[in-house]
Amino acid sequence: MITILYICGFSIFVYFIALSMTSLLLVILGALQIHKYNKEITIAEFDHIAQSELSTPVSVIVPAFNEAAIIIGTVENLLKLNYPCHEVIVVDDGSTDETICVLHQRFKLQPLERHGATQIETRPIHAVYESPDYPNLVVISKENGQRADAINAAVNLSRYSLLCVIDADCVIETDGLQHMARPFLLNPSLAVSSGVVRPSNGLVVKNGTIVARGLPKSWLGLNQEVEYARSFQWARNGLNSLHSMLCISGALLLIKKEALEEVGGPWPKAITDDIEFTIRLHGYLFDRRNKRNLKIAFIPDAVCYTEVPEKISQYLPQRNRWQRGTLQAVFRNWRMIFNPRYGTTGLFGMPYFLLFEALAPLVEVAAYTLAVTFLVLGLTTFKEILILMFLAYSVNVFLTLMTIYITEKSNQRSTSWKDYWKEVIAIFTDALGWHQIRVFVSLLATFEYFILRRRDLGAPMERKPTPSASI
Amino acid sequence: MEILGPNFIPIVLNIALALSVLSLVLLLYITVEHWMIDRRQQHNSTFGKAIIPLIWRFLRGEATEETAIKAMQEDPTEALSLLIHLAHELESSSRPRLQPLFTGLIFIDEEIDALKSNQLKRRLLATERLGFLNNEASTAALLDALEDKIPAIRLCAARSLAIQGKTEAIKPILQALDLPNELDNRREAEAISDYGPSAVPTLLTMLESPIGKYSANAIIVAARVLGMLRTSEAVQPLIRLLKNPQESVRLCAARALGEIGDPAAISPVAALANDPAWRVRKKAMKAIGKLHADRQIPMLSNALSDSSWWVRFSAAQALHSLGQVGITELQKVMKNTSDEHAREICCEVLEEHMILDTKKN
Repeated sequence: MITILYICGFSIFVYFIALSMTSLLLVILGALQIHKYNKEITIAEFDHIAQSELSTPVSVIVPAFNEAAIIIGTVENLLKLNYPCHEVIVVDDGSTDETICVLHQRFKLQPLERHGATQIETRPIHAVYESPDYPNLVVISKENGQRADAINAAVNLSRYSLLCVIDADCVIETDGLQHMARPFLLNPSLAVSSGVVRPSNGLVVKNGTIVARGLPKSWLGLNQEVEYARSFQWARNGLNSLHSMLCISGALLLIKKEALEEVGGPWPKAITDDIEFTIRLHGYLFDRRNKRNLKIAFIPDAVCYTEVPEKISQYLPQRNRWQRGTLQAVFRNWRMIFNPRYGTTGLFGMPYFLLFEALAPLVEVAAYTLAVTFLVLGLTTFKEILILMFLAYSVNVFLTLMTIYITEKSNQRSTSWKDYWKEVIAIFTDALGWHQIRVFVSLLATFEYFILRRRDLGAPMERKPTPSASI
Repeated sequence: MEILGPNFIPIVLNIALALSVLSLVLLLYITVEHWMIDRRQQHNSTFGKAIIPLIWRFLRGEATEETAIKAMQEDPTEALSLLIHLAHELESSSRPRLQPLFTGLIFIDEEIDALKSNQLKRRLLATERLGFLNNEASTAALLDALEDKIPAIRLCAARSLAIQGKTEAIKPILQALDLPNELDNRREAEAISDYGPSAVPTLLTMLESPIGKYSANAIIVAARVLGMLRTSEAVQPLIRLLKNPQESVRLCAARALGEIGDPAAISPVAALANDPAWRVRKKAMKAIGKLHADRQIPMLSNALSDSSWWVRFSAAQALHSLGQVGITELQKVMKNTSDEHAREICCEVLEEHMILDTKKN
């Protein structure tokens, strides 16, 4: 029995070392990618994209369900994007609140007859509207499906060959689309580009344009600020260079229409459709039998701001859903795990995602349980446990500081000293409570997924009018 | 008893301590850098607030060249980037008025040296800056930059030469760029189109030159630009290109003729309906649609039974673009034809344009 306990303990220690080393590798790869990117771009190039008639037109898709409080600010922001040719398609996915009414009121919507060439199966569409004041705005009112179903409905009616999917609670920098579209103009074999997502709480938006960036006021929001920075600034950058960015946030995604159609669009029954779609997309792009040689780009300076929960009652269900969605996406595409047919995606990306993302909470809770067991049985000393925890903490802080170092060189750096120090404090305190809360929520979600077979999306997050809507 | 054994504990502790020290050093470094970037941004903001109005005053003739250059010399790099940004915002006809300021700020030898740098960004910046120095040395340097191994530099050099308006650079640009893929081809065409109508005579000479004198890519881009500029003088040379042995040249000529919209091109373009390459037939159908050639309805109608889906689709779209007469033809074909493919494509296009709702029918 004691031998088994020792083997478990040692295995977890090996797991921790493997995770730390992989993370360090990803930091280095991510930093190199960002360095390479910064060396390539010039401001003049973006000016040119913004003015060029040849920049590929984009259909921006905004799925919205019960977003009355924020939808106007989001649409105004998207209509103001500095891009030569884009249309904004808002899909009201059968909202039970005033979403469609506020859109009618603000944009003076009129019914429009519009059919598209693409036919992905969706729930019935009630009506399509246009705005006389904004010719590039289209609003679709449809029966409630899920976010994925709403996206598919918009894909069917989209006009252009590039599709940009943005969440309804998101605000994007006015030059964001230029940055996202740039790699498509340079590289014909690119299928998808995605950008950075940061919390919008603390952002000040005036008439659809971001005028000031700040940090969320609550500690929970601040903690998520650090978490998002860590996740996007290096993890995704490094993972993408290994064809393993298996979670492209649904908050900001630019994809060729033909690629989306061939993959079959997001899966309407997915708990988190973006993760499931990303994994399937990787399967489609990197399956060696298809010889497509297509690519995915991660753009470190295309930033999209999304509202993050600042109340624990909203935060916990969100994390619960994310964990269940991750498990569902990984196990639905289990054939890709360790499958050499998918190249590094199969041999590294999928195992990494399974071991260090989907199953990480299980391992971490097992570590805590083992530590207590060892102490109770007198198999270890309190000092040894403390030293191991200190090591884990140091690694966490070091890796997160690396993220801040990368962020400082980007357009997302804190603009005030107060925010800078708040961020630093959040880095040092993240692993002292918040991280453990995330782990236990994820463990509960894992239990609900496997034992209770819970597959619902949970209640949608209650929105508060963002500064974009209120100012 | 211990999980890792007594020998490992000091090692783990030392690693953790080393990481902590490293973290503190990193934090210190980031903080210093944050402070420096802050200072730099504050300086740039103050400097910009002072310099931009001064440049406008200079453009209005209220400030002398010496005053402006003296003020800009305080931070020439930042001043230059502000000046370039402003130059891009100005009408191309107003740009030469900024020439004295550019001459005062850009040290041509430094920029020419930068063109030889190993750093891509340095080369890009130098290529961009040289475009604003309208003299022989900068033009020669930019012509050299057209030989750069990186396509982005070659394209930037082409744009800079277009800013200089040196029409003698058009042929070297087209020959040097020679970018095979479609996207680069479009960007190259756009760079040349920045010249505007002044590029037309050179491009026409290229189209009229004997086959083989210029590469196929150069001819394609020249045809494309002439189409973009809707040059009616190019119609006859483009019609001759429709018989070119290269598929991509015929295709590009058909597209350009469609964009120019001259009725003289209708019959020659319609003759491409029998071209062996489906991509050419497709482009010909599109061009016929753009040319609003009602008398080509029978040809378009025949093309609805083409072996390629794209040709059938483009023919159906072209018929639709002809208005009621084309729509009637589509409906007629849909009812009467025995060709399943033709019926399907008519149905699809009519449905797309809301003339037919198959779900109801």
